[in-house]
Amino acid sequence: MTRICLILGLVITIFAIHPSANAYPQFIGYKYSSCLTCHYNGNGGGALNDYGRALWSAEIAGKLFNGKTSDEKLAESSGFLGSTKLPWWIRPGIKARQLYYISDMSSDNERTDSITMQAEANVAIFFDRDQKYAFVGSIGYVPEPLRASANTEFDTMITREHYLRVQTTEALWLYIGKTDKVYGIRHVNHTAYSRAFVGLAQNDQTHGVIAHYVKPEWEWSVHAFAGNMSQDSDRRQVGASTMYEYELKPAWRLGVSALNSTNDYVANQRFAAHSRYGFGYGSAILFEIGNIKNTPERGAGTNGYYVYSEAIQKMARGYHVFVSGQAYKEDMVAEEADNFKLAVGMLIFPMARTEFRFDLENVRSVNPGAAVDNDSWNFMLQAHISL
Amino acid sequence: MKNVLVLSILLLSSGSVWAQATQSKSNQVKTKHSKAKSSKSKTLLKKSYYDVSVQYLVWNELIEASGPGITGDGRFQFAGYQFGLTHNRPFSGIRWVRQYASYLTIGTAKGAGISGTFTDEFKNQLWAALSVSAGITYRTTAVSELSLFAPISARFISWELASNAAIELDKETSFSAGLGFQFTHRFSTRSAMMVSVAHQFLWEATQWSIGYQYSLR
Repeated sequence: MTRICLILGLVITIFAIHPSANAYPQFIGYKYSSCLTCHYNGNGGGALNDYGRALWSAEIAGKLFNGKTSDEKLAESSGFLGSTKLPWWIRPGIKARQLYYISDMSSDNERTDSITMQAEANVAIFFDRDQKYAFVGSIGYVPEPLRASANTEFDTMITREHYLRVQTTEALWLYIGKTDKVYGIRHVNHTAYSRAFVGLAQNDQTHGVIAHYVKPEWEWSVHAFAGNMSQDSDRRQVGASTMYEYELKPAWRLGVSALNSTNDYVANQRFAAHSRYGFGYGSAILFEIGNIKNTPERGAGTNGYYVYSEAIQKMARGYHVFVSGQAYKEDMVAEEADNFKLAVGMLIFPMARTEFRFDLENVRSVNPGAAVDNDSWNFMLQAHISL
Repeated sequence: MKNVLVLSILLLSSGSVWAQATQSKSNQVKTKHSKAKSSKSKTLLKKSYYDVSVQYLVWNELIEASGPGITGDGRFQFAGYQFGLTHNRPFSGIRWVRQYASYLTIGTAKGAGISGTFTDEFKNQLWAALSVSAGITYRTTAVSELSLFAPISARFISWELASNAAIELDKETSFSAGLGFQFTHRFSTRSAMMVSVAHQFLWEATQWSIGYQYSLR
């Protein structure tokens, strides 16, 4: 009875007051091909499971301030309360992410700001010891969008993820609730063209049902969704998406995705093909190319493309350098500009539970006419703590 | 190697001396062969060699215009193909490589006036550049490399203006020096793809490039 009250209390707390969509598909470079290895959500993102926590501490993260501690010890102390064991039925977590950025550097529009991107509590509650039945949810602070109008009410406390997970057979997992949409490579850069313009940005989660079939050589997810229930019904994107990934050879996966959804104003269709290729130990190349088709109820529609690519290199344990290239065209017509982003940066996990990410991004467009737009430069520094 | 060892133990335990002797001989041959292969690949990595490459480059740059009643800056976009020959000299083991390269780049520029009384538009302006570069490469894995390089470039633009145009554009001949970063991914010991970003200080321009490299080993 006490446990039921505790579970109910936690569920209510979580719904009353949110997890991150922080997934690292680059870790195929460490030979971890499937997101299910480390995340409760088999499609990636959100809270880490016990194995994911241990792996982060003992294999991925550096050993700053604990160089003499063995990897086994680091893994053992990766829990929420360090090495203190929690009851089998509960796994809480806390995440905070702060962003410092300078946009349009050295221009008249230069802007410097610091944003708390994430400050949240998450929990996984298991209803059986085999973890076949589980509830996973999060709740927390979300910053008000810069472009939000003064008259629009914006709730800064949201839940980005809450779902029931059921493992029905050895290979089939069902997720019922609010999650990220199943589509493409789920990486952390939510301002990337492949996320921001596809409709997979940081607050684009949806309520629905996911069936995820996982085999060692391939995975297939189908997601039927009814939109984000915290939005007005006319704005909810209702539809379905799917993603299939096949392991061509160890640490090289090829995938295809499709998404079709609609609300009262616009119908969205997306299609993508991707590749995740790991090489050496800790290095990887990600590539995704896709089509974005928007058909509004009124006015002309657009049919554009996007590309996301990233090469990441492990330099030392916990320290990675990356180069990222992106392209986007809103509508594939001659008069439309092609937009490009080239970024170099570092992804650093100096020790367990901490992450720093530096990005220096150059944005450029290629117009069909003689006019040339100015390049813009953005600098971003993210600090992330995960307990 | 491990499998061969296990097989040897099994064969020994079965008492088949002949089989063991044959296997052991085969082991020696295999070991010799793999040693030869390994030392060959290490020698290959330590030897100096040349690369030939072709890259697509693009960058934006401000160019000043002047003439009777005309003054101001124009923003131009340069795009072109760069053909290169690089001499690679490994040092300090197999990880580090010094590079000396020379390039010929040809392409076109387009642009338009953005300030003052300079409002003209330009397209298909031919240009060519000669560059030399010194760099240092770190082989992060057997198939990937990160490089820093410092290019020095001389560029010639053949401004093609309307016959009655009383306008003069700057930088017909210009020089610049820069600093760049390159990521290279090898598909084989000979073929590689590279992406680079370099800032040319005197031109105040950031050059992007993507290209293919073939090693002459």
